[in-house]
Amino acid sequence: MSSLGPRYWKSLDELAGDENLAARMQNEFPDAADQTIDLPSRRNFFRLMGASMALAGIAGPGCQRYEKEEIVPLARRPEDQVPGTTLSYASVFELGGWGLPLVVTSYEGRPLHIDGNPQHPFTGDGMDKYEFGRHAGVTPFASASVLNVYDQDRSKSPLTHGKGATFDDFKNWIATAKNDIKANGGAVRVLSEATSSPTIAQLRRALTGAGVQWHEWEPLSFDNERAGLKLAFGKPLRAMVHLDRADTIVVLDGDIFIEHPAGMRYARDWKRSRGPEGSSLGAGKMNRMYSIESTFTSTGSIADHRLPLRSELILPFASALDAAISGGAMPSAEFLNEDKVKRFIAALAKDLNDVKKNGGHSVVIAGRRQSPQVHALAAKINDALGAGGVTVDYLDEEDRPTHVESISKLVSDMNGGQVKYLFILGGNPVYDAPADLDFGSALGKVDNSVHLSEWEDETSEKTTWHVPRANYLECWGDARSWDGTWTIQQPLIMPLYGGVSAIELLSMVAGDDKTGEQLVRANVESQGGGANWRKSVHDGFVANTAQQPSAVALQSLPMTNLSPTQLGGSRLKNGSLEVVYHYSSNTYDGRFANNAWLQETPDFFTKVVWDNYALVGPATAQDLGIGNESMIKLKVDGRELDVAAYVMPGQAMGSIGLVLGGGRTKAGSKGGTSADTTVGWNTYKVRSSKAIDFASGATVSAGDNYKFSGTQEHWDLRHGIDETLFHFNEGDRGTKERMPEIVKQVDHKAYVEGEGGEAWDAREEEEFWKDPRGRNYSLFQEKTYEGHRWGMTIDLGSCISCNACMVACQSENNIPVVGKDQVVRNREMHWIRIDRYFEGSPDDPRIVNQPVNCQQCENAPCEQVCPVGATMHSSEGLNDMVYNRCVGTRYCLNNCPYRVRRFNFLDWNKEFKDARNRVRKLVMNPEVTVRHRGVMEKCTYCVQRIQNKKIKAKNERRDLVDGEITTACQDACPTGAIVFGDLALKDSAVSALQADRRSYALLGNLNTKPRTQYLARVRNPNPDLG
Amino acid sequence: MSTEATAAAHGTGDARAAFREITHDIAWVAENPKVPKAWYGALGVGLLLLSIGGYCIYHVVMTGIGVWGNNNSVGWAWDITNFVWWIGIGHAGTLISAILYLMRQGWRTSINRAAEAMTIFAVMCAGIFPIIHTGRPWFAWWMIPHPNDMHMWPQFRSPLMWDVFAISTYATTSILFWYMGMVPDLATFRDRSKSKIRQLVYGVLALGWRGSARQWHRYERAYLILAGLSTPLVLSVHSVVSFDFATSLNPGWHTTIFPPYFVAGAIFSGFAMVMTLMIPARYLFNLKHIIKEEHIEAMCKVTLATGMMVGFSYSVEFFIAWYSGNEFEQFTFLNRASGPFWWAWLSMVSCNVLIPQFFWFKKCRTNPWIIIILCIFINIGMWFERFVIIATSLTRQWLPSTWSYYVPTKYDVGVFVGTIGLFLTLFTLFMRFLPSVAIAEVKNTLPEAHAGKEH
Amino acid sequence: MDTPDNTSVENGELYGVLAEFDTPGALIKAARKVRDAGYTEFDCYSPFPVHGIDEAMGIKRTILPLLIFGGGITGLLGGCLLQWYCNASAWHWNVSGKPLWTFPITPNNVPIAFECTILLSVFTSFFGMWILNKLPQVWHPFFRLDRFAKVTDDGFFLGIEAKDKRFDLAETRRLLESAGALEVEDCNLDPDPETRRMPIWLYGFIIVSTVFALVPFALIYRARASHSKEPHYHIFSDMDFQAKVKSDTAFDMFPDGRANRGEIPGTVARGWLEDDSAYWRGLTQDQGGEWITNFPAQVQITPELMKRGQQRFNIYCAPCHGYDGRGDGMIPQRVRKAGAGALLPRNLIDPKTGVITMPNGQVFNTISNGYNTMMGYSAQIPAQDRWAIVAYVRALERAQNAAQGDVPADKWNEINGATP
Repeated sequence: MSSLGPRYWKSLDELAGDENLAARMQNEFPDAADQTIDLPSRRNFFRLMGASMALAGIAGPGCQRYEKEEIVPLARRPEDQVPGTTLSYASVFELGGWGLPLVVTSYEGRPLHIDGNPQHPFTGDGMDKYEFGRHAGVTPFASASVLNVYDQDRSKSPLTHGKGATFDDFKNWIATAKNDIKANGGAVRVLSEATSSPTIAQLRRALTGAGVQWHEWEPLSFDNERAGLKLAFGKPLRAMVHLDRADTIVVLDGDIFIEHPAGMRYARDWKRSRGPEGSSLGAGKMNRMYSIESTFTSTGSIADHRLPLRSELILPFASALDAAISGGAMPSAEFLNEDKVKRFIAALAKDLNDVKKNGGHSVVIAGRRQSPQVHALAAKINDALGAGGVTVDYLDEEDRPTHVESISKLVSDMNGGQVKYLFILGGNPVYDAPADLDFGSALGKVDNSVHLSEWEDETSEKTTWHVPRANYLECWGDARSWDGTWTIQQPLIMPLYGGVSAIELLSMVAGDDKTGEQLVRANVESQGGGANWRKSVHDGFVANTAQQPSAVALQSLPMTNLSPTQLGGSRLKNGSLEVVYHYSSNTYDGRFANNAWLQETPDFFTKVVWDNYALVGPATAQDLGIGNESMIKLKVDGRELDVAAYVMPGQAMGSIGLVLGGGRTKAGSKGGTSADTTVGWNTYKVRSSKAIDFASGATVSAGDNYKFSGTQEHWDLRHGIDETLFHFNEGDRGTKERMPEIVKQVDHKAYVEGEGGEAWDAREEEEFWKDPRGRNYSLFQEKTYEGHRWGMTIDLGSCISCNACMVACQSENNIPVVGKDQVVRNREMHWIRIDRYFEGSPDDPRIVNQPVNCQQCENAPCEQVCPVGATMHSSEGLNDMVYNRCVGTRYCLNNCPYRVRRFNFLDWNKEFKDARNRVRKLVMNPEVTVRHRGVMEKCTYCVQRIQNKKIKAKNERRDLVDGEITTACQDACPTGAIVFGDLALKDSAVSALQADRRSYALLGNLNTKPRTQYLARVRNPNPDLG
Repeated sequence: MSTEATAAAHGTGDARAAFREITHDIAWVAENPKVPKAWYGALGVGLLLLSIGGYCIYHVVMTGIGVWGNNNSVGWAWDITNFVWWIGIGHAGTLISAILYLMRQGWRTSINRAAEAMTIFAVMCAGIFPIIHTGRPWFAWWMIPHPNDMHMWPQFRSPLMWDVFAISTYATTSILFWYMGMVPDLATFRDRSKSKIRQLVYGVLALGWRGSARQWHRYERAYLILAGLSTPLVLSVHSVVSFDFATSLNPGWHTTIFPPYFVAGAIFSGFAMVMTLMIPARYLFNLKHIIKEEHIEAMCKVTLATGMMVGFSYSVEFFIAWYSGNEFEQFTFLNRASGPFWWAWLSMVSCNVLIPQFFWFKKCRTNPWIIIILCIFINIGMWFERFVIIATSLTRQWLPSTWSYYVPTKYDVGVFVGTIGLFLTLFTLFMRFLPSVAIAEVKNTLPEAHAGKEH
Repeated sequence: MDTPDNTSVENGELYGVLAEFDTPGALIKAARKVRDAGYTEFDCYSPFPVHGIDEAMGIKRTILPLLIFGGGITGLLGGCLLQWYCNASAWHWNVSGKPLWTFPITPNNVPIAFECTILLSVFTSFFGMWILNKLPQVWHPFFRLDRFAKVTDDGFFLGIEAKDKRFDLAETRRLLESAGALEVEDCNLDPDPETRRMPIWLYGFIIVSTVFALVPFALIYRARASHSKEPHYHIFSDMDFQAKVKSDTAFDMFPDGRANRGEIPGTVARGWLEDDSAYWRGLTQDQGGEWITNFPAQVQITPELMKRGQQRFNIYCAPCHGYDGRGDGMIPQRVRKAGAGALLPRNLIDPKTGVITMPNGQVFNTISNGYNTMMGYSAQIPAQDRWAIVAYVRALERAQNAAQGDVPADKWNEINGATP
């Protein structure tokens, strides 16, 4: 295996010299434009001139000959490999212990692009007319994980005590240690990430049989749900909800679409019961969603009603709701008497009861971080609403200690010297284990510790052995999706840097040195219910392995006693503040810190990149006397943390959202290599095992200022709420008037019944261009198109702002990463962005998400101003960009009302000149030009995909089928909010959607005639809360 | 020579003494062996700034536009601001030399040569920006129609193409016009030259001019027609420049008033610049009796008038924005005055509308110091006008999500400073080595030019 | 100008006389007088245009304006033509959904047409003027007279050339003196004609500078015409160097030097399950199966299939096996001609060589995976087509070994009728 690894990496050490320079350049601030080319010092202008002259020499072109390109074709090609075409393979991406079924596109044996597996029974089954073309959603994390394969910073050989070693050394060590391991099994421990892999379970049984003790640690786990349902039903379970059957959905402080392992499926189901006319609930019906949460999540942003509430108050809230529905004693919490909350609970309870009365169905979902009691209460309410078996199923779980208990036990044993051998399978406990355990120092007390990981990270440097781990796209494996379906992980490429998988390491430890394929295959063939191995590999899952719902009976819940803050009001004094830990949209729990795509993908709602922060509500910020972008010192039971504050509208009063996953000190060249090159702050420092999900009693003291780099507010946010910050619909000058034109919204009632007798139609102001007799006021006869007319529709009603489209686009179209300092300068390159607008009051706003890519205007303003005709219209109505013709006047950009054009201000691909980074060329899509500095670029509707499908259809002597061509963003979208197709076909889905009365053109009254149109967002508010 | 000439002038009533005096005083600027220190100072400063600019341009071309502050919302910033500013400055030259000539304004003869020179140098400075502001300047020549293997041609619907033609025509015309006017005076230099080199150089440049009446006849015709052609040209050029903005979609740019507004502004700033240059010059090379008080005063009046036009245009813009009832338009102008760039807007208004009002007072029109200071303010104000138009509009476009801010880098400043250096260098060299005043024309305006004719 | 000493004046031939006057007015009077006296070959010289002198000398209005008008019109038409050719004729593209040529409906062609008009007018007026004035003319006889230097300062002169038919030295001098000349001076040509010419070194200078100006163009031409084995130089890499790996290219980071990592054994690409062993491998079953003798279910023997099979056979198989399948295709023939040993493709139709006896599955397998010197064609020929070829080969065998009974009666008669 390792022999196939690249041979160049020995020279790394020689090259390592200028790493510091690179780091310095990356982190110095604020004159960003100088960063990339100048030495930091700005003291002496002329000395600087000299310096940057020198650097410009490096950065500059330099006269060289064209490259010679060698072609080395295969003499005997396998039947399925046609040069220049792609193959796709089913696989699975495991995050937080649950698998997301994937289809990975590979180009000549190199994985390039990742989509969901449409064939998989869990994420893929069934389509309705809005989500056609059979695609399944994919999370941004899974989609970006392909970049990790080609990460030049991955570890390339085992280390022992910090010194380089070979795999043979490690194998020898295992061989010598084998008998010792066998002898005292009790002193051998395995610390694993949460995993649902049946093969690992198999190996685990074998090892535990030999007395080995097994521990698990996952910073973001679903233990609470298991515990809570055990409380409610007497056995460990997990809840599997069916949103497509739910008329009313209540989410208690949870992110059920992106963070939840079943999020992709939930999003799809939610969309099904959401369609304003013709949903899975029946004609003219659509679900209504309530979200009670402390911090804005995708759930809250698309909920019809959102109540910002501290996470710790969810418990009293839930019991109050329970009381309101099935009678019983209201908890005597002060905040429940606040008018807003009162009304909310009353209306909510009424709604739920009405739905039940009318034979509808509802479901209450408790968030991952909520305490077991809340989960139990949710189960109780669901039971009362008769949700069981309809909108929620309960699946059996094995009974095991929670991750916190598990790792605490391990640490105490380590400190007690009862651990002789410790095998850490992935994960990074030194970085993310609860702070009070101090895993790092405990690790020092273990004689033999082995850390299997893809990077030499914080944990690797403390263990006696570090073993490179094969990326999940490089090795065999398996996992279960949330419904229990056994999903196969097949490798796309040999391990680039050598490396073994977790199962291979375990089998080494167990003493029988089997390959991953042997292990998984044996397991499937023995326990797969006689499934055909080859078919399972091909489909990506073992047929009929989904878990059956388990029969449950509700038990009486113990009385829950509430803490003073839970009984208090919603406003809190400094010192008793609540801290809630969130996953990061950039790094999840920190594991993606070195993934530049994710780091530069803006957060769902703050739109901040390359950072993590503490979210503070405007009112709270005022109380604490801190502004946006000011550093704060956060104190949680004795531990202190310096972190930058982001004033987030809609953040619950008294609650501070602390985003995890920052401050890595050994992540790699992107995510930080030392304490002074970190990205963000290590917020795990204050996270203790006693309050793993949220803590209370926090104190905040203001510090000096900091600078975030966001993709939406591109200037110093400290200018404050007053001047156009956050684009509030109300009070924000210049935004309020134009919002109705930009984002159209309508209430379901008005949409169905119409206003004043006539049906509601989103498309008024395009009529501005027509006179009553339908003539067009244009000066000349406007162009008409024969043949294909490509068009796109984006449904604002179902965009959950998961960023999947952005990452998919980045991976499909070779979009460069520009770095934090350039994003501050408003030079990010994403071809599709998700605009976020707030409406309402800063403390309780509503959010509107609007994905914007090139609108492909038929009367494109950009085209007529290009002096050299570098952007012109194709016969199919695409607004083509001819990179090689572009001179770079940037006039097209100035004249684009949507500002979707992106200019290569600097050479974003300079890094490839460095030998260390050459491996990253492999992730580039060969079908798409890599743009040079000085040229303009923008969304092409994935023209390369269009052409490939046209060629295919032509070879097969047939016409294109509607839905055959899909854009990368469309494939990634879990709710099918993006639909692409041919407007020339009257019956194509996109034509149907653009004929819909919800459909409107963005800034349509400019008569740019965009091919991309938007479906107005239909909200379904509760009249009682109107 | 000088003593005897003056003697001749004052001693005997010789009419030709006046001509001699003119010839001598103007030619002496170029012939005087001891050059004023200030001249060397100016040249030194010019060259220094020029070298800074040269480095910055090298850096921009080699590293990319990213070294400037421009971004994905603000495609143009200082680059085009400077371009429009310089072009505007150029316009006064053509105006003085052509339009005033057509209007038979005798006083123009004292300043038209220098003003034309200013035009040419300003256009040279302006011309730098459209080229280096492109992402790939080495392909800027693609904007010139030329046959090529791929049969690709420029796209003539783009105002940038109009610019290419307008600016190049303008530059060519100005240079030819300037040179043609200079030939008789070069002949004068030739005939006064002592050294061989001067004789050769001026001799070649003078094309063997010998002031024959038949030649003067055609010469005057041609000159008149060139003046006639330059007049619509100068108006068209800044209109075309204004089309860069007026033909776009952007609120704050998409304005029909731009052409007249830009032309007025151009003349405004141009006159200010002429005065900024000529007032020191007339002291430095003591041309006080040639560039007279009343000439300066006349220019002040023109400046005042054009300043009022500019102010009027500002108010019209706001009125139309309000009258249009279009919220995007209204916001844009509200934002100009009260948005993040309020300071730019304020300095624009105060420099361009308030400052010129001083010229109502004769004292301000006659005191050179006051004039210079006011003129410098006006030039600053006109720079800000272009900056306000470009920056405020681009930072607050249609979709609030794309709103941004603009901060210049030292390379923005450096390139601008560099063009100022180029301008200063060329102008100092011109003053020293070429007839800085139209000798023949000045003579023509003297009463002695009609001596001995019977009426 | 080199000024000759006055002693040498008499030994050059006379060019004319030059009279100096005090004031412009005096010059005008004199000019009128000279004209009235009937002289034609005379001219006045002054530091600035003296008004009124034109009619005094009787100078006719110049035709320059007409030329300029012509130039302007040319410019206008040229400007329009250029734009029409570029955007409406030579390179027509859909730009912003606008018509190709709407002049003057949408005035986007007006500015350039206008600028071109101005530009050409300016050129004509500038160059026209000099040409009509016969300038540049660096040398003129009057330059030999010291006093004439004043013409660009304060001197007003009237010169009459000797070639005028009414010219008579004494007479003319008297006329000029009577016209109030301050001084009248004869002007002789230089005795040696050399000095009238431009100095040689000036020619030299012009030639050398021209040559230098041409050097860059020469280099460019050279560069365009050169045929080098080496790749071109370039200063800015632009998009020539793509930081991506194209199909079948080399990539030195891998031991095998290929960017193509191939397929990992055991993995199954989507759509390549190939679970039907009969169709994909020609076997009844994968483990210990037999060659199938019939055709798999997916392959229906239809005329279309046979046609397709024939076509594919003629493309892929005939070069070696020959159109008739006798194994004597083009390649073996050429190999034989070249004397490069014996290459004997299998005779497909000979009952003895066994292809006939092969089960279909085995024939399919041979096509797919090859057989000693014959390479496998699975990569070139899709399975469906391979089966079509099998079908066609079967037909070929039958046809080539046909007995009379195989021919339908009517066809038989046809043939016999055709050949009596």
